[in-house]
Amino acid sequence: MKTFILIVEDDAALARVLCDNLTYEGFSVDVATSAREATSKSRDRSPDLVILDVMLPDGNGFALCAQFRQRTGLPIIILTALSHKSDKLKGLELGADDYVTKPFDLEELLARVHAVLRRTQPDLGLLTLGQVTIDFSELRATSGGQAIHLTHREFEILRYLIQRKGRIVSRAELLSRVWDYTDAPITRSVDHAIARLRKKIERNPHEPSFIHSVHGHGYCLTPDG
Amino acid sequence: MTVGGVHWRPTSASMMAAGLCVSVTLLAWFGFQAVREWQRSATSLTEQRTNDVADLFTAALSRDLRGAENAVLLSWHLNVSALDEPSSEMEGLVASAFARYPYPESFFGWRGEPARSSLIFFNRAERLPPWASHANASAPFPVAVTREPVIAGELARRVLDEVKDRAELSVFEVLLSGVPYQVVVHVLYRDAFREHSAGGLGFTVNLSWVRHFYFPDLAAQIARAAGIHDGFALSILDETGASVASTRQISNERPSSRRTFPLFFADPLSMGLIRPHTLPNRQWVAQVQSVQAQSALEPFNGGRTLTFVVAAIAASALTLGLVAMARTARASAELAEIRSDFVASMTHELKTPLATIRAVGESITSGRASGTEQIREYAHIAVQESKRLTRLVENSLAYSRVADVADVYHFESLNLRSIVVEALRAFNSQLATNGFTLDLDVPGDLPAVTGDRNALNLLFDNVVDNALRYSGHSRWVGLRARESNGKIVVSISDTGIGIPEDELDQAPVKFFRGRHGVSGGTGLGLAIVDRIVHAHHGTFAIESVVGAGTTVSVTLPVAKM
Repeated sequence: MKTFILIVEDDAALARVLCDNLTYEGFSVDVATSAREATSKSRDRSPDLVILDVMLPDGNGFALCAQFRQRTGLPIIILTALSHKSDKLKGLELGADDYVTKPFDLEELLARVHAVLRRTQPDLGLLTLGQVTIDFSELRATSGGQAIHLTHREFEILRYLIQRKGRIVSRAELLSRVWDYTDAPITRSVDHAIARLRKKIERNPHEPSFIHSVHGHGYCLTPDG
Repeated sequence: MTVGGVHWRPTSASMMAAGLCVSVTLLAWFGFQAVREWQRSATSLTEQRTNDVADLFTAALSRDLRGAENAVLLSWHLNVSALDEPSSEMEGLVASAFARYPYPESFFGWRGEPARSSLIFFNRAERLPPWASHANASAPFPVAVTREPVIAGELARRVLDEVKDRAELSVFEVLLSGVPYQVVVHVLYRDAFREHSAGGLGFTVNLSWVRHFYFPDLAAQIARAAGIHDGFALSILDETGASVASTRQISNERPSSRRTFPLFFADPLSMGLIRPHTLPNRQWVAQVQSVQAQSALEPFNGGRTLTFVVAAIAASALTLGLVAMARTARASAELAEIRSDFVASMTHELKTPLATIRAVGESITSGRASGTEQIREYAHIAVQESKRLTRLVENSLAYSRVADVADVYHFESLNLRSIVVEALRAFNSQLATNGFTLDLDVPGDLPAVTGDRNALNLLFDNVVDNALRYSGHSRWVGLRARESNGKIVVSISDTGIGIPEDELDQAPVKFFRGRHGVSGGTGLGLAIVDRIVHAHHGTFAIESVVGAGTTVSVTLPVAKM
């Protein structure tokens, strides 16, 4: 599963160069050239990070920043030509995780992207769900001290859900982010995979304590049961 | 609240307005008080001066009225025997009195008891009394000595009455030949009990003559002698209030200073301040009125209302001045803010292509961009961004060029389509990269226009750039040209975000950027267009609906063949 970064930039040339570089770094990247497009794309496919310009043709990036933080709490790096101290303070007060001014050093921007992702995506290390312990670094899982076998996809599903613990994650989002099916029709693959995973980690898969189904919306992981 | 791009705090504005009102009110009040105080002071000073002049006038009148008595009657130390026959000494004394004092018409004297036969008259030769005999009227000497039995009898009878009262100085009025006279008589007595008269000396004053000649002349003389002729009006009123003399016109509506004086041609003190019961009470009035000060105070004679109006007008003028000053300051602040916005926008517009060029370069040098095709694409991006930077800088310079040096134009006959195509060539890459649809409808056979090639290129460069910038999500721009009534009308349309109606008039103002101008722009584009169009004797119009789009129409005259 690749980390998904959404670039909100109305300047097509700059967006293109940023997109190429972030893709080279191994990220999944998409570009929105307006505030409206950014809102739409972030709703369809929850990004792990947003690189946000301020002066957009149909709105102000600061307002969009506040909106993102209020709704999802997703990490944001503001990338703008506005270099005045008051603009920087405003951006950070509205919830941006970092503020980079144009023209910027590309290496520095990439380093900041990694830094923000590290800060906002804590090292999962060991995840405990009742008697089940999952080690994401070693990709190993035990239940009551006995090893259980989880597939790579099941590790990725758990990783994605725990990174969004308590939030509802739609089937489409899981398909897009874990299966990397961007334009695929909704299939039962997600439901089957979740059912198999519940059998391995839930005490009673028919009455799950950790991975809950939210009818009509998707799934929600609650590690505390 | 935002007014013309300036943040206006209602609280501050209200406080400022309230402060201004209080200041103006206080100023008006202080002005009113100051003017009133000045008016009071001026009035007080004028009154003081008028009083002084009135005192001077009265003193001069009184001195002159008792002058003849002092000069002749009281200085008369001659032996009454001198009155047996007229002596040259007596005549000299009378002549001297006639010369100094005009009011005595004749002096008379007697020895012993006053009687018809004993009275001798010393008449003024050049103004003989109407009852005098004319025997000696032609004598060259100023004094004509006569005996007037009829008049002497009348006078002797009245003097005897006075002698009976043992009066030393008598003043009485009498009709002589039907003319009213005041007579002043000094009687000498043989004994200490004043039972027998030893003789006497007196003079007659023709009251009719002094009323018409003496007092008017005396008032004018006093005014001239005191140097107050121009500043004050002196007048004398009789006991009935009728004017006897006046140096200038007196106004009843203006304040004046009045002094009463008894119409005695003798010193009242020597009469023991007791008016004989036979003497009518003639208390005349000397009146003084300021003329100059009156004129100065005239604008304020309306009283408090007029003074307040003057103060209010002054305060209003000051208020207008303050308001004008505030408007100027506000306009300066607005201009400063617009310029500041321009610098910010310009900076932003420069930074974005710079950031792209730098990122392109770093991508290549770091090896992230590899492969011939990608490097070629990146090189193309760098070239396009460089062109964009060039246009920004040239636009900024162009404004001052087209604005300030209009005579740099080189006019020639031009085919409009070729100009439009040339201008659009600069946008080819941008149109392709961003997926714009350009709907071009400029016939090649349009009549030529007279214009400057570079200027018209700059004109279309700016209107197309604006249309692309504000086209929004539609990414559609239409460019259409038609001939109409000897003019070429070029319309550049987009279906983008539009311009609010209240900003349409300001759109061609330099540095002005609309509320929706968030995607950059220096605020110079339409200002440049406006300048160039007017230099080409054309017109320039903007029609726009927010959310529906904008059409900019440029009309240029067809070239004359």
